[in-house]
Amino acid sequence: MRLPSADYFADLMKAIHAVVDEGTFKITEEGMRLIAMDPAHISLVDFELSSSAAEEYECGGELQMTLSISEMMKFLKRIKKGESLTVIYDDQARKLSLILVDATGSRERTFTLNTLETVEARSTTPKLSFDAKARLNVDAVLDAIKDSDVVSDYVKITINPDEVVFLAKGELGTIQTKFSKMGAAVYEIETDTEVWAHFSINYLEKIVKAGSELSEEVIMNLSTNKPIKLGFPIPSGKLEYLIAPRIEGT
Amino acid sequence: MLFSQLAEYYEKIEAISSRIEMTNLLVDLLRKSPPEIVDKVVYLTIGEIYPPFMGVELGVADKLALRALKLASGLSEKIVKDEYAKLGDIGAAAEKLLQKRSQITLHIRELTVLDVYQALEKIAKTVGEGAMDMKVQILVGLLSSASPKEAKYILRIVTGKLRLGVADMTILDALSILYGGGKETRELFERAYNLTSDIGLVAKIAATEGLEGIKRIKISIGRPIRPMLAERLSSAEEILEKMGGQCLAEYKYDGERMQIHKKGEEVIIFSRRQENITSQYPDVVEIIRRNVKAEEAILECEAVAIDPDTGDMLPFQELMHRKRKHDIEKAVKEYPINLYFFDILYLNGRDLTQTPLHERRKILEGVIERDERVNLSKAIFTDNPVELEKFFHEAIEAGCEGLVVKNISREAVYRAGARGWLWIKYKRDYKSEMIDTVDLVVVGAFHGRGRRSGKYGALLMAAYDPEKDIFQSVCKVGSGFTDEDLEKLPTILEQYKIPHKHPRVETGMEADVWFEPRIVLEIIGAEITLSPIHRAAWGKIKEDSGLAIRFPRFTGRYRFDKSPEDATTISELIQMYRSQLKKITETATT
Repeated sequence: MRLPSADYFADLMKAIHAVVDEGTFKITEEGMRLIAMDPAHISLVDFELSSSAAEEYECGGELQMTLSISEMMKFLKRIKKGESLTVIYDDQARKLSLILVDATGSRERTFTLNTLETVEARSTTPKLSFDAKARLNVDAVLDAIKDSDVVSDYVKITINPDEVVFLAKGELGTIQTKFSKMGAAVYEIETDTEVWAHFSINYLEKIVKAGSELSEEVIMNLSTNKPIKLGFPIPSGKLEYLIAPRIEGT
Repeated sequence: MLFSQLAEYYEKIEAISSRIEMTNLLVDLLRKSPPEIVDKVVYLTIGEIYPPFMGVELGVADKLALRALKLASGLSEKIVKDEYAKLGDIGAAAEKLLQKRSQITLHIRELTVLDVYQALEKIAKTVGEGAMDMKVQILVGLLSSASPKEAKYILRIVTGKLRLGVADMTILDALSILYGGGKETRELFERAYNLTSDIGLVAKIAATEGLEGIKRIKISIGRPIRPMLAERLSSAEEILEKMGGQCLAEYKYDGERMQIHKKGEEVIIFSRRQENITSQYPDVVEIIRRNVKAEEAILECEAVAIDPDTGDMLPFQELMHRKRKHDIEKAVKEYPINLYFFDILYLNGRDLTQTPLHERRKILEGVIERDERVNLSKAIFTDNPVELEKFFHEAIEAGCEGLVVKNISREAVYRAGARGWLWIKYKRDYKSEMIDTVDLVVVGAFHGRGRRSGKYGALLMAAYDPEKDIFQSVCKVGSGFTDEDLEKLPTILEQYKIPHKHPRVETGMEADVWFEPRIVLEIIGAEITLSPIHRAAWGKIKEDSGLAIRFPRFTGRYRFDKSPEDATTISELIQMYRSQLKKITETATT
């Protein structure tokens, strides 16, 4: 698989790394897919990159590749701006090669990473239905979450037909961020009722931060006291997360 | 079967102290367990996942379990650690902390016994790089689906601290009630257990095949038989009386007791506690292949560390070099061992455990091919307490712990897993540790073998008796000599060489070379013991016994400044022996 931008691939891996240290990719002719939960089963990442995202893509049959994402991140940190990336996986030798070529084609670097044995069956996404959906500017949401972090380690997210509200209460005090339907940060709200749930800031922040590197908007799907789905639109692919709620008083 | 049901039983069992009630609860639990997983229920209940001989341990440290608890609870490290410090029990801490858990997970499912068992199995089998993180992850996955009460028991099992007070024997009680119809069948269950060392297997066979299945259980190669154990006495008269007047007395070697299973070229070595220790003893595997003339056999022996230069037996501690996982090859070279076989339980399809001892010993003699490294345990048949005691002191002096005295009547079968009076340990009650060096005179020498051939392998050393103006032997010393020492000793001693024992020397030993008492060397040892061979202080402490030094070694100091009459005297030795004589307190049971 050859990608025009190595940076982009690094951001995608970072987005997966927000949930798991290690993951199993299913690779087919259509592309690569990973669904994985963190060890505590609180968050889930559902990632897909279609073969159409690549300039060149070849795959001889369906296979699975288990990677230490944290190990790979060490390699990806060495990427330089403007480099293109070719990813080659040798299933027999269980080795993954990352070939980086700079813009002028004058330097080619090859990083080879040993992959891991696939042990676990892949996770599947739980079936959920949502009562409310909102599309927002991702940086605004990230700010709201970071603000909440000042007073608490969890935040209540509310979506009603008119607004999206982030509310954090702690011993220090309360921090609230309101995004009105009419404001620039809100692209769309789709709900008849008010829904809300509490989430750990720790998980939210990691995920929204990773998503903000890849997408300008975040699509939030929510029902009261149910997991939240956070979607970050990416070209020729899918990046969605689930986070289980905390059950707190209202 | 849900794990929550098991946790309920654990909670009840934990709350009672009566063994009868505990047994009744176990009967109830085993009845409710589906036969196909009853073995797993049993392993978990005694806090294990496999019988010990499988050599797979959970081995999760508290630190690791705390990390898992922190991740699963979503609480801060400080809160988790504080609660653990307060309660001192990771299980109780988990139960309390998880009750406060407000974070829910993406999918909650009810844990089954099999879920928990398989996860624990995975934790135990995960090795190598990154294994610790992997173990934590599996544990977190388990905890995140567990109720607080389930988490309590999962964490206790995983850290090896379940401690319900349920032992293999309690399970046997419950099995005999449930599947045997009452306690009167317990012996059959116990037999099955003693022949297999696998309480889970016994439970499973009982649940699937009933009492008939239990009766059909046979010895099989690869499954350790629980060892026969000995009672203990410390006088020769008492022992002979218990034995009905005659016995077989064997050296009780200070080594590692091994049960060896051989099938063709395949060899498995089990420890006394049924752990598989084959990997620590590649040299034993070789010896068995070479010296055991049987297609299939189960044998028992003691492996004793040997000083490669002198052939002397070394204390048990020297075998500890084999316990390290690395450098086994180095240990094999530096700390070679001798094997002393003392029993045979199975030969080419024939169960010998019901065969009397003297016949087993005869069969053993036919199966073991002896050489420098391999022998049968040194033994005598005797009906004489004086002879028995003499043999006992000889054993101590040779570096043994004492004797194992065995019944030789027709009834002397191999009672697997039982401690009884068919075998009696004869050990010392007292010992006298040696804390000072002594200066002894060289009166004889023994030819060296192997690396020391052509030189002296060991020297015969004597103390001075000023009353009689003679030199009485105290020990044969071969340790502590450097290559340089060995090189120059023949030269130093050459001028004192005489064709026979010197008239001023008394000893019960036959040296290869005799010397005029002249050269004094400084010697240290582990203990001063009574000896039937050495003549120092003969009859002074005990009739027909002298004093000897156990595990003697040369300190490196030649006392050319001393005349032989300046050597340590008999009365000094007696003084040293008496002042350090202390009662031995048993540390480990053997």
